[in-house]
Amino acid sequence: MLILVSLANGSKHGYAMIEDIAAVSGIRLGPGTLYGAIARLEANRFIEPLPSDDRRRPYRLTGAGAEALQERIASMQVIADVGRRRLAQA
Amino acid sequence: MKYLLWLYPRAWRARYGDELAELLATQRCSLILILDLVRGALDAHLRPQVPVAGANGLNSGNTIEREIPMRQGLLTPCAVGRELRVRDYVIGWGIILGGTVLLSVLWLGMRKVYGHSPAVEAFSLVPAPAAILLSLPFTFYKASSAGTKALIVGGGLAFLIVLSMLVGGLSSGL
Repeated sequence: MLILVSLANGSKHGYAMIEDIAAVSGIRLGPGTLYGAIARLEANRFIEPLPSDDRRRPYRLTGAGAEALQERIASMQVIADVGRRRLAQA
Repeated sequence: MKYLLWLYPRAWRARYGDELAELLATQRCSLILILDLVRGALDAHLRPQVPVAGANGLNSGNTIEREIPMRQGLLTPCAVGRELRVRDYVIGWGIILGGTVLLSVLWLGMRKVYGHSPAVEAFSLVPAPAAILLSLPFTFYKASSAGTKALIVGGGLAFLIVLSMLVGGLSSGL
């Protein structure tokens, strides 16, 4: 999810994703964790690599990835709304 | 730290090794980073994504086949269970029973040579589970990659030995 959010505003390579995710969420992903997630997201066609001349390959969100992110955000939104309502009633 | 990349499966390294090495060059070495890479390598072995044999993984956006965890991952026993033949069961049980007997004989031999020390007594924990572990590559993990088999057996045996040493150490302290 964090990676999908990070790629939502444009392509990024690994290092840029780590920095962006840390800035947005406060969570600093380790390189092993990041590339494990990248491999899975790529396998699921949620992200795709872009051609690159150097070893730092950028990735971008695919249409399926954007859709999956939308669904995830919507379901989190529902949970957040319920939480807010219940807190207001308490 | 690049040497830690060798812990990853070859196919995974071929696809992501250069990128990860480039990223590692920007990181400061730390225990957390090492643990993160070891965990990542374990994950790559247990939940493999198989790269398509393309030039550099950029062929027509179809870079990687879908994840195949049921066949090669932790859930392999569930996937392969119905594919086990009688021969596999015979081999498996042969290794379990034969291995238990052999390792028990080894334990008795150690007792004879080294006496009833706590460490030797703790080794009595090892034979049966070790024999079960040794049988797994021929039964439930027979469809797994050589790396996964080595990881399951090697990791399991290492755990058993460390456990028996701990038990030996604890009981000698009592």
